Parts: sequence; C-alpha cells; structure tokens
Amino acid sequence: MPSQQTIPRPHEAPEAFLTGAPVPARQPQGFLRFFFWLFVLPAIFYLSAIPVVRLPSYERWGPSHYGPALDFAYTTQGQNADVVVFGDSSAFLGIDPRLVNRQLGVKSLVLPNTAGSLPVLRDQALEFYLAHNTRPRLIVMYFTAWDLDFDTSASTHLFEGEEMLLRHDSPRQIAEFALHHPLEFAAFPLRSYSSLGPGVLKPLLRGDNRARQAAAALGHADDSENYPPLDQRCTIPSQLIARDRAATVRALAAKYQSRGYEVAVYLAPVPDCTNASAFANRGYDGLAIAPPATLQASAFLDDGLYAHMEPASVSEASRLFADAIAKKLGK
Amino acid sequence: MLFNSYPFLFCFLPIALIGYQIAAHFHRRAVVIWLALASLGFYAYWKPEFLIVLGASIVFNYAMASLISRRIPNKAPTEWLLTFAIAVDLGALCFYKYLFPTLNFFARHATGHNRWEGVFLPLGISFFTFTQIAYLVDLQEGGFEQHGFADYMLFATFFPHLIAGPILHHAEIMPQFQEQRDYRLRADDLAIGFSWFIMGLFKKVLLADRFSGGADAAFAAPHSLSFAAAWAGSLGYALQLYFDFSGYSDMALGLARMFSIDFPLNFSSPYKATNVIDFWQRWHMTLTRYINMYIYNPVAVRITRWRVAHGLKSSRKAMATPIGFLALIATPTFITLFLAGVWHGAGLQFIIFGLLHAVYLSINHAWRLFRGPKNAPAMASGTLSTRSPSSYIASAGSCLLTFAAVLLAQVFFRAAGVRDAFAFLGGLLGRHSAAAVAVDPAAYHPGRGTLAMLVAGFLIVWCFPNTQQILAKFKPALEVTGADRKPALINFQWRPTAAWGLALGIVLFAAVIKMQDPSSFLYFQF
Repeated sequence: MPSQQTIPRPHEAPEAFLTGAPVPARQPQGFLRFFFWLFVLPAIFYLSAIPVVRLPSYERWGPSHYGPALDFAYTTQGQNADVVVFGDSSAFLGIDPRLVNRQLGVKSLVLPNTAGSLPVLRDQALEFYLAHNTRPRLIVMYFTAWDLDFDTSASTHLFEGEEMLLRHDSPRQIAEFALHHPLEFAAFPLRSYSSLGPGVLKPLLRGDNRARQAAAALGHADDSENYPPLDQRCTIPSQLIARDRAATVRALAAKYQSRGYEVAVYLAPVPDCTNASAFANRGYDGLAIAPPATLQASAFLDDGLYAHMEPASVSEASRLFADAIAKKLGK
Repeated sequence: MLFNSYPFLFCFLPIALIGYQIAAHFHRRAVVIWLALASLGFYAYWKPEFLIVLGASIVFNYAMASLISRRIPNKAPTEWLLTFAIAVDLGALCFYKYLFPTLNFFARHATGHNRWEGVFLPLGISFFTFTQIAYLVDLQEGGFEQHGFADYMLFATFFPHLIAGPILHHAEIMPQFQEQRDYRLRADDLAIGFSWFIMGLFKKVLLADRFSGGADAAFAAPHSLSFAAAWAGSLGYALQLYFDFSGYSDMALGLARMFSIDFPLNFSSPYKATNVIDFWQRWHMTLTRYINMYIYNPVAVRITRWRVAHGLKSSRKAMATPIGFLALIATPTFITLFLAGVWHGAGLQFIIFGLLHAVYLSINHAWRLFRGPKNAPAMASGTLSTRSPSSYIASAGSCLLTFAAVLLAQVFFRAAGVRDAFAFLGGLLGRHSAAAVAVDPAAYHPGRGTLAMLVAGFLIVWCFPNTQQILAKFKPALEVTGADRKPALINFQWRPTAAWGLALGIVLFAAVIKMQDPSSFLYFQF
C-alpha cells in the first residue's frame, strides 16, 4: 500500500513556480465545487435540447436547416390532395406542387423527407397523411437514383429524422429509438446546437417563417444555403453510381399497392455530368421505372449531392414531373 | 486516438481516470501498469497493427538498456551496444519516414503516381524513438540505474506525450512515477489539469481549425494567389500552426496533470520572441532541448576538441573571429538545424526550412558576439513600470522582424514542394495578382470575416497571457521560462471559482459541439 501521506504540491504558489522556492502545502479548497460550476451549464444546455425541440413553436425560430420543411408533413390534416409525393430531399427541393397543380389541374403536395430523415422515420409522414386525409388518386415515390435503398445507406444526417421523431412521436417511440441507436441519440443535442451560427439570425431578423413558407408552397422549399450552380465538367462520384439497389422503395411501393393505392415511382433528374449515362441502362433492382431525365449541370446546386435543383430550374423539373404523372391521372 | 474526439473525451479519459483511481488503492506498481496498458490501448485505437512497432521498439530498447547497464551480463563495449541500438532505432524511423516518400518520389517521376500511397507512418514514431535514444545515451554515460520494465514502458508510452510530445527526459519523469506517495486522484490536480485541457481544446477546435480552411486553400493554389490572398493564407497558417501546437501542448500537459504528473513546458508564446534564439527557446521547447543536448552539444564538443588538438583556441575571444565563429557556432548550428529540418519531413522544402533557421540563428549569434549585448537588457528585461517607451518600440520592432523571418520559413514548412514554396513567396510579393483575378475574381480579396479572425488571432497571440501564465498560481509545469515571468499586456489568472467554472464550461460545450468532425494535430505527422 502506498503511503497515505499526501505529497505537498505548491498550490497557490506563484513564488514556487517563478522562483523555485519551497512553499508550504495547502489542502485545496473549493476544487470540487469548481467541477460543479464547470459542468452545470453544459449539463443544462445538453439536457434542455430535447424539451426545446419538442416545443410547438420550435420550427418558427429553431436553427434546424430543413426542419421547418420536414415539419410540414405533420401538419397536413385535411389537405385531401389528389397526388401525394413522398421522397427524399430531391422531391421537396426539386418540384413545386403549385406549378404541377397549375399544369395538371389537380391538387398535389410533397411530404418532405431527407436521406437523413428517411432511415429514422421511414414512411411515417405518409402514414400520418393517409390517416388524416381522404384517399389520394396517386402516391408518387420520388427519389434520386441512388437513394432507392435508403434503409441500408449510411447517412451522416440522421439527426434530421431524430428531430422529427422528437417533435412528433410519443415518449415510448423515442425511447425505442434511443435504445436501438444510443450513440446517435446521445449526439442529437450536440448536433442540434451545431446548427447555431450567425446564419440562424438572418431569417429571424427578416421575420421569415420558414414553416409557413413550406406550407404555402405545399411542401416545396428553396435551399437557403446559396450554393453556386454545378460546373459543367462535373463527375458524379462513383460511390453514388455504385448504389444501385432499390429494396426499400420497392417494399414501400408494394406495401401501399397491397392496400389498394395507385403507386408510381419517379426518379429525380440527374445532372449531365460525364458519367450520367450510368443511370440510363440499369435495372433498378427489378423496379419497373423509367430512367431519370438528364438536365444540364448548371440546373443543379454544387452542394456535393448532385440532386438538388437550382431554384431557377425548379419549374423545368416540375414540368417534367407533371408530364410523367399526367398519364397516370388520365390527363 | 485524438484528444479532440468523442471517444477520447467521453470514453477513454473517464476509463483511464477510474482505472487509475482503482489501481491507486492497491500499489504504485498497479498504477504504473494500468497507465501503461491504457496508453497502449490509446495508441492501438488508431491502427492496432502499429502496436507491434511500438511494442518492438520498447522491448528492443529495454533489452539494449539491460545490456548497456550489464543487467544482462555481457562483455561487449557499451559504446558498440549504444551505436547498434541507435542505428536500429534510426533505421526503423528512416524506414517508415523516409523510405516510402523517397520511393514515391521516384515512382511519381517514372509512372506519374505514388505507388506506396497507402503506407502510413506509425503515429508518434519520432517521439518515442527520440525519448528512448536519449535514455540509452544517458544510461551509457552513467549517472543513473536502469529502471524496471513497467516504469520504462510507462515512460515511453504515457499517452499524454506519446503521439506528439513533449519529448520527455527520464530524469524529470521517472522520479514522479517512482515517488512513494498517495497515488489517488486529487481534486486540485484534476481541476487544474482539466481546465488546462479545456484551454487547449479551445485553441485547437475553436481557433486553429477556423484558420485551416483559408490556409489550406491558399497553399493548394500557390501559383494563382493575389497579394492579399497570399498574405491572408500565410498569416492564417501561422496562426493555425500556433494554436494547433499550443493547443496540443496545453492538452498534453493538462492531461498529465490530471494524473498528478508534471510535464516540462513545450510552448511559451513563441510569436512574442524578440529574436530567433528566443523563438527556439519558446517553440517546441522540448525538441530544442533535445537537439541541443544530443546533437548540437556533441558536435560543438567534437569541434572544440579537434581545434584544441590542432592548437587552435576555443575561447569566447576565438569565437568572435570569423573562422572561429564559423567553426564553433555556425557549423554545429547548421548541422543541428539541417537534421531538425530533415526530421520534419522527407522533402527538400523541409531542409530549406531547417537551413533558413540555421542562417537566422547564425546571424543572431553573430549579432550578439560582434555587436555585444548592448540593446539586449533593455529589450529582454525590465518590468512594465521600469521600461521606457523606446524600449517598447524596440521590442515591438524586434518581435515583428523575428515573426517575419519565421513566417518566411513557414512557407517552406507548409508548401507541398520547393517550387510551390517559391510560387507562394511570389504571391506574397504580388507577382500572381493578374493570374489570381483570371482564376477566381471572388478570391482576390480575403473576406471581412477572414480579416476579423486574423486580427482576433494576433490579439490573442500578442496581447493575452499564455496558459502557463494564466495558471501560474498553481505551478502548472515542471519549470517556468524567463519569458513567462514577464506579464502580458492583458493579464488574468485562473482560480477555482464559479466564474472560471462557468466560463470554461461554456468553452467546453462549444468545443464539444465543434468536435463532431475532429481534425488531427499538425505535429502528428512527425
């Protein structure tokens, strides 16, 4: 056993550090209290993140980037649309239902999701919609060609789904998620705080209500990040090309078809990069769908995702989409 | 494992502390073994296979130490044993550090691409190699008894210094491992050490990483930099390197202190240096000490002996002659800094970096020798109340001149090659401005945010106290530097109060949020 005598350390001893002179030992006072003060604010910030996200007003002033748009899917009671678009971020950023409605003379809307929210929420937004509205004439699964098996793709943005889960699900469902994804759940408060920055203040100061804007646009939102257009000399990353499975969307389509719904799968346009032809001739895992339209690269945002339309090109993408579903609607 | 990562902060560190506390209830040896094993785990987290390299290095060097100390009976001359051990150590270091870059250099010229790109340098190989070579050299020279294997292993692997220093000397660390004391965790050391760690985390995560984007972009396109962009990139890199290394050193010393171990200081506001000799006494201080003890001094002694044997004088008067200066000061300086440059990397630009500093140091020594220390006392000593305004101006001028010289050398230190370094220097002189506008007009002028960050960075560097000054009331390290005794322009001191606790708590939380994509430390590559 070591000696229980405490070796003196020169606490509060500037003279020892500066001159090397010996100083009498002094038992430290207040150091444990210091730890209380050190951890109290981080603990408050950390623990308050979830209650704050659950506040009904959070989507008006919260820092979440896509949160206000995603929240629209849970406020669709009584919309009673003819066409319901369910898909990844390429859907709500790429098509404007108001333009589709004007062209086809129907009522359509988008239930916004992202590649990060889908693995967490799956088709929860669609189930919510169907439970609170009359039966739609058509459900469209709108995805980029590499997101058709979103259950197995390792997204680094699961917090987008977690945010919706925390806002709209019961404590029991939240606890179940936490049990299955403890690290993800533990990191959620840190990720939500990381959205804070000077950019958050701008919409607040301008008085923007992004949730209301998304509702007015029937689920469509413009990407507010202001990315430049994609360069013409682009190449779609080989990792995206390699993601050619479609199991998740095929299963979802089969699920709703079995319940008597008319379901179509639509692939979002891809940029005319050097290797865009890779999407033209593939089998899509047995899913009978038309290959994606190819639009000039500058119609897309250079945000590293090769899927988000530049706001000025949303009308063209919406027209292509309307043309594609017109036959299904007997137009 | 990175200090600025969740696995380290939320998993490794708490386990290491709890294990330490449990081991402390049994025996000192249990503490030593626990810390050594935890350190091996810390190292293995990055690439478990390199544990073999670290383990082999420790076992080999301990075996050689046992032969040198005659703990393993033998009759071989100790000089031969030492030479053999150093040759093997340096051979392993060269194998990993220089062989593959050299092969890649030839492959790139022959085939256009790097053939051995996937070969990694074992993390911290320079640091654990140098630490052990010093141990063997000192053991061969006598003066201390060889230590037990567990103590030796902990000395070589103790995780706060394992990856990027400070380079420890056995004489200052071994006694702390062997002290007969109560090894249980102490609230005061935990509070001081963790506060120091948080200050380092702040520098690394919230400052250094903020400067890295601009600096990386500037050094990636050295041929098309406008005058303003080149200066912003160069100053940004100077601040990135400063806060990165300073932050790492703070974290390393703070972590050691949490276990009641005092490390030597490694960083002492080097950009406040008023000459290049002063700069090297503040920058990577344990490396400077190491190369002084194990390269500069032996070379200088050999040259002195040679001169004495040939009837030449080696006095201070002899040093003040051109030939004497070249032989007794410039030659050891050039050899030492050349090797320091080579240590920093396999590339001509690192050799130029080292030789530039050799030129600076030689000029600095010559200035002192031939001009005498007329101005030195006024600039280097004196308190705030006794110094005259002219001495402040002289100090500020010397500080800026030293910083400019360091900045010039840092261009070679950071550039991908010599050609890129010269192109970058051309950018600093405004030679690529037309090309810069043609390539990207938006990048012609650095943004207001960049300029504000640079101003804030240099305010912290030049006006604020460093962390050992902030913690000076609590003896944060083994010793203090002369420079740290002088107060900074703005002064404040840490105390275990509610205000400091709340402030550091906010800093910790902000850093933890920013740590979601941790970046490695610049000195890890060495």
